[in-house]
Amino acid sequence: MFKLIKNSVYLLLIAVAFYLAIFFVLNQVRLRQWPVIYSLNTDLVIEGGNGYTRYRDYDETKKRDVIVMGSSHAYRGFDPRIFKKNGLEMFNLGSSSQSISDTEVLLKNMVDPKKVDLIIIEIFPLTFVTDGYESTAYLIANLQQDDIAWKLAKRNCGIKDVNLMTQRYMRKLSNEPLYEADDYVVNGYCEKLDSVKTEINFVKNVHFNPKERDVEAFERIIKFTKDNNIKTVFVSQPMPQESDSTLFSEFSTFINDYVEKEGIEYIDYSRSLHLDSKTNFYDHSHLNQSGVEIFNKKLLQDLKERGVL
Amino acid sequence: MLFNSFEFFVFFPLVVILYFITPQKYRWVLLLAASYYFYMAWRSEYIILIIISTLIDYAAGMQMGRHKEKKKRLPWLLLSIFTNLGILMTFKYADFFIDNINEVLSHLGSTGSIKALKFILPMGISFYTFQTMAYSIDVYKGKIKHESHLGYFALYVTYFPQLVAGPIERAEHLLYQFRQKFDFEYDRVVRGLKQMLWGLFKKVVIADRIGVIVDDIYNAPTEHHGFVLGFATYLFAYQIYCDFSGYSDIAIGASRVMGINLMDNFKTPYFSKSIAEFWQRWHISLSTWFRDYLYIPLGGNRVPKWHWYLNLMIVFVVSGFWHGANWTFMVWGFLHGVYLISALLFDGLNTEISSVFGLVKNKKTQKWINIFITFHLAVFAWIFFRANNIQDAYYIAKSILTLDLGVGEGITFFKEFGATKLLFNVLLIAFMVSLDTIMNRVHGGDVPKWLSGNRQLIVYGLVLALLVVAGKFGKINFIYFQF
Repeated sequence: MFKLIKNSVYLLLIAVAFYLAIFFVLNQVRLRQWPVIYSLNTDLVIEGGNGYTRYRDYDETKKRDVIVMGSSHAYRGFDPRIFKKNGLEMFNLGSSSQSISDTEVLLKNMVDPKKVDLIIIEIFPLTFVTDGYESTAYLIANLQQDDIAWKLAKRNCGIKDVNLMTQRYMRKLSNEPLYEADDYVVNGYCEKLDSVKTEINFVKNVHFNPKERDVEAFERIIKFTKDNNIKTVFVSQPMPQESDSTLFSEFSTFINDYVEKEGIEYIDYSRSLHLDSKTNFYDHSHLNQSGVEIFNKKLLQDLKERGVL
Repeated sequence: MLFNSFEFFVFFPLVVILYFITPQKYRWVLLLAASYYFYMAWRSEYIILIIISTLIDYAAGMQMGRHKEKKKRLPWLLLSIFTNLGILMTFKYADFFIDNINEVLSHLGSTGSIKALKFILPMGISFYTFQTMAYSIDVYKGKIKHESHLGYFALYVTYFPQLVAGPIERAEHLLYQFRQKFDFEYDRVVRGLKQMLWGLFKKVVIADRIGVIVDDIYNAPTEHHGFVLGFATYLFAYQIYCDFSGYSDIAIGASRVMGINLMDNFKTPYFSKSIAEFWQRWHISLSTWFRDYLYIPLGGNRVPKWHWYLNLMIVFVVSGFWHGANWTFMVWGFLHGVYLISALLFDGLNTEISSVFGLVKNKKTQKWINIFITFHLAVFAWIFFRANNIQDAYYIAKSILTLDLGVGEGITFFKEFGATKLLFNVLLIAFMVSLDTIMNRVHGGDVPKWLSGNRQLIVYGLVLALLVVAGKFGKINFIYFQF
């Protein structure tokens, strides 16, 4: 038995040495601008782009009126420049496919309750439904703080997370992003001026079956914001009317249950604010700048009417 | 429970530790409980089918054991066969027959239709029903003595390493091993663990990575031409091999850790020199099952030639149907039947061609030409195994055979998918192929000299590292679980 344990330890040490060597070498070898490690391990997310810039622009010690969190609908749908015109300093902490579980981690670790007056959490039904891997991988690749990356990785503690963390440290050796953000504007926001020109596939035939992990995270967010007296509004952005009404109505029922039980503030624009699916969107669900302007003005007006601002 | 899951990573060491500290006479209880838990981790309700099969076959075996005359044993054998085939027909094939009857009815102008049963296919149903039928047939023939201990018999039916995807074991090989006492032997345990690691590598690093590309192409074949479709078919050949032989390696290795030997299921089949040899090296436990329980009872080759060929064809078509309730599997089996019969018919021609090209003297070249041809025949047949339906299979086969290659489309596809990604897959396959033969020797206890001692640690260290870096993790089923 002792021999088995001894040789298992040797095997593990050799494997770790090979593992680190493979990561190191394949990070150095590049085809075009990309390290070839991303071709061998396709679960890794390439560090760079708007996420990289956003989390380095963010200074959590700075006082802000509003912080926005959520998926790509957040960082492409809430424009800090429009908020600024209304006298509000806003930063957008959204990230690609941000799951509600990851929103919780960011909220608890990147937001100082004393330094913010209002938190807007953009909620999109599919971020409760997916496994959340894309969200976590994107954040681990791009967040500046190691401690938050560790917290995200430790929740699953799977092999994929080990690889994400290894790659994070390997990338630190070069200390520069692999690609630049082409549509990043300011304070975490990304702007799209395109409109829809081709046929698109809208979200269809999907039912709202939330993951238990995300529902629990959602409930903990509600508790956390209440316990810390953080004024919080949950918002669903406008969606093209062609998209699946079943998904959004099922989601609405789910959230309205919390509105009644917990008294949370929720504004649902997915069905109520009708924007043009071709001229106000640039794909099946993301607003372009013309859509953002209409939506943000309406949102600010509604927040004032509700007495939130 | 899947072998490539975190649950199994916890379950297996726990079972092994308990196994070695449990006194021999109670080990069957532990293994039986572990096996039921293993199966129920997938769907608890379907354990009922296994229990029914176990009880009926146990009772049939006991009754057959009481009688010496075959005539009195026959009703019990029939009970066993009808029960197992009944379960199989109901849960696996009923909807296939219903769909085809409905199709015929609609062609005849009928507006009515039979409602499909829509049962979820119980995992491993084809494996454990065949294993228990083999037991009943062997007891009937007097080849083995019936098992009077219900616990050991239940364990024979459900033994977790081979429960859901084989190898399909024979009672004469497996049952007696449950009564033997196996101590913790370092060499044997380590060989088992190495085989498990190699199996996991084949599954997670090769099969699951390749599967993503194959699915992408085979789920929309008409969007592609022969070049891409041919490429996907080659990849599928390695996907199915690594998926299934990987499963077998994990099963055999896991069992070996506990001292129980399971039969070999694969012997580098893509290096076969003929289709007949291919079937001696591919899914050996199934091909020998069909040989012993279908081919020989049909008369085997001790009948007139035309009857012999018919026997071969029946065996291969039934074998295809065993794999799945779809015409595609039957065509796959039929093709293999055609290959085999053609080889018998044109054996003389083959020798003549070899002598014309001077290959008779050059055995090595002839060997590699035969391997090349056999491999490509097997790859071509895989088209029908993998395609979602006969129409897709026909389109793919036609695109490849008529050389409708669409090279331009192929280059665009490779560019879009990423040439480096594809290159890594090819390199990983090459790594697997070059090590597979050696690994089979190591796991069988025949370690080549150059791989002795610390060198083995280095090779397995590299395999483990590649497993973590390049593996596809997530709950991806083994292909043969559906059979």
